[in-house]
Amino acid sequence: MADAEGDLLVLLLDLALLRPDNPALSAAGAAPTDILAQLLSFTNAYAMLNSHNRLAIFAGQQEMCHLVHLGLGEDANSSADSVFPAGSLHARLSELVARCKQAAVTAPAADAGAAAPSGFALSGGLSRALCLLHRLQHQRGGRPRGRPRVLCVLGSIDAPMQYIPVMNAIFSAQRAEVVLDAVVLASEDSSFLQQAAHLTGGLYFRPAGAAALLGVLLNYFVCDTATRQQLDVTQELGVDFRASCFCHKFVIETGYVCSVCLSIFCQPSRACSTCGTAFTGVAGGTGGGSSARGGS
Amino acid sequence: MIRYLLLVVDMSRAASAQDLRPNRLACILGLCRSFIREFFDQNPLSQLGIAIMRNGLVEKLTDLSGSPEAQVAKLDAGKLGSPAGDASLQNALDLSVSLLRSLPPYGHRELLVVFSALATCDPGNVLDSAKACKANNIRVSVVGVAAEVYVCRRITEETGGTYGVALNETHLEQLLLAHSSPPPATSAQAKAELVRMGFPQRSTEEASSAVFVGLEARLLSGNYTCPRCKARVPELPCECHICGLTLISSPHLARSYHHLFPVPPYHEDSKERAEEAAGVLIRQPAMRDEVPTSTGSYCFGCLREVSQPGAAGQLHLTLRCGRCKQVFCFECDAYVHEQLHNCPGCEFGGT
Repeated sequence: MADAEGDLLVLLLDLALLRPDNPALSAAGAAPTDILAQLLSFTNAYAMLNSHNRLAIFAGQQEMCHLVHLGLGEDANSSADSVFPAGSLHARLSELVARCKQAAVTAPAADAGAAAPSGFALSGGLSRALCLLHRLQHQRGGRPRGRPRVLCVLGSIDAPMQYIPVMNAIFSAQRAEVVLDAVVLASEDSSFLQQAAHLTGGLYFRPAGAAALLGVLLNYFVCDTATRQQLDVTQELGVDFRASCFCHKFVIETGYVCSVCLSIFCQPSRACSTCGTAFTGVAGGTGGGSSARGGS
Repeated sequence: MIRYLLLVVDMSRAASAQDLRPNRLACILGLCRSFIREFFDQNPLSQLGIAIMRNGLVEKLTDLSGSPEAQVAKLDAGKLGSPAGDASLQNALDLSVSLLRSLPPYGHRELLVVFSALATCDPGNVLDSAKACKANNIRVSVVGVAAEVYVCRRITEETGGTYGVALNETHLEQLLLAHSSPPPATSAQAKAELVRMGFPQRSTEEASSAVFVGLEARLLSGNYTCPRCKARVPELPCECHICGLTLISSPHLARSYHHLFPVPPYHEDSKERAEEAAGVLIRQPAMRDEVPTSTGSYCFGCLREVSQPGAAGQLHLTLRCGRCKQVFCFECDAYVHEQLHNCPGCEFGGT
């Protein structure tokens, strides 16, 4: 696989997976050091596969997403660290985790009920990754073998507040032909990432245990998208296409849609809260005709 | 808004003229294909149908539907045959009235004619048909290829549409794609209503879980379940064939949400703004100094080095977001405002 054009991968890492004080991890029987070791092996394997492979790693949490590694192979005499990031990554990630723990200790009043560090700024991380890929895609001429990828390794559940910006990011990834993959180590599936993988042609995995993480990463995510087509990848999941309502952010199966601005509500109301249109009635879905009930 | 658009392509004698390469019809069909894709991209939940004018008659090619691929496949010059005869605007207007009249009142009804001929050959008075269109709230727009025709101008003015005549192929593409974005509309044109819709879940793709799906009872494994009556439908968007509920997937709607919550524009950076921003950004220590730079500042989106405001020999324009106070380069500004519709800095709980 001696390609002149290497692969382009941006890794979004959830720091909740690396924090020793995360109760979800200890409940699952996974050690953060174990997870970190698996991730470092993956990054080394990716770098070893092709000397032109480019890698950027963002690690983040609820309110921030910090770039921890950027290996673009630009300078001829790049240090070993910029190509095989494991050494410096270990140090920088540990430092970040310590800083987060300290921040949580000094501001305990903020999360009175939520002792567990949870939530990942998925929309922010995806936006930064896409801006970076937008720059890098146009830099090198020639036709790369595979499409640029963003791999999200998350340990948190979805935040319904992020629905709209995450969908914006997914559509712009679709347009730019960027593949969004996901590996989720959480108690429930992330419907945002399932939709992302489905719409961009990526892969979504929720391995049974944290020990299976390295296996999944090495099997599916080390090679580029062109090679992936030749692998036997079975994706049997059913995607959850349900929307969340604008008023409460509940996930709903049936809802009321404003015909002007297309915002979704779980209950009928007199006027749309997004565009301010006053409604004349509610149109049902009974066999084609609209049953407008006056002024309810 | 929800739009119902009927696209009428002129296949009269005039469409075989060769002032557009290879001939007018081939050029128009190619541009119509990209128009259809762009239309569905910008207008989720809308429906589009196609008709052609030939030999003084109008033939309906496809019914109004919400999926682009079937429509695009029909617009193949080989399958359509050769242009012949005259174009009849009145027949096209009458067809649009009969097709669009029975649609729900909250939808915007539109007719778009791509007109190559210089005259219209009608069985009666075309202006009466134009009045009928206006009575049914149908907005008629025409994109002309040859020259300005007075009757087209009258019809479009009366119904509130637009009329443009293309000077060359690029201009024709511009005029056609301008119709893909929703037109300005008043409340008089379509009543706003709350429409009941369902969001089905997709089943797994396993071959062993195939079921009989849809009205024709095809055996498929990937299908959607109507949340109200639990019937299976093959694809979205559609109406459930059992209970009539409109079924869509949330990505269809989410495509237009960036119009509701636009990103505020970025302003050119200056020393005062930079100082003000420094006070705000100090609260986010984690996202500073991520990339080594010689100027000390880098674009928050693409990590490219940017120059400080007011520095000598400033190469690129540096911009700053008014809300989150982060710095961005010119390319990221264009990308964020035109394609991404998320400001990366504001996503991190900026002020």
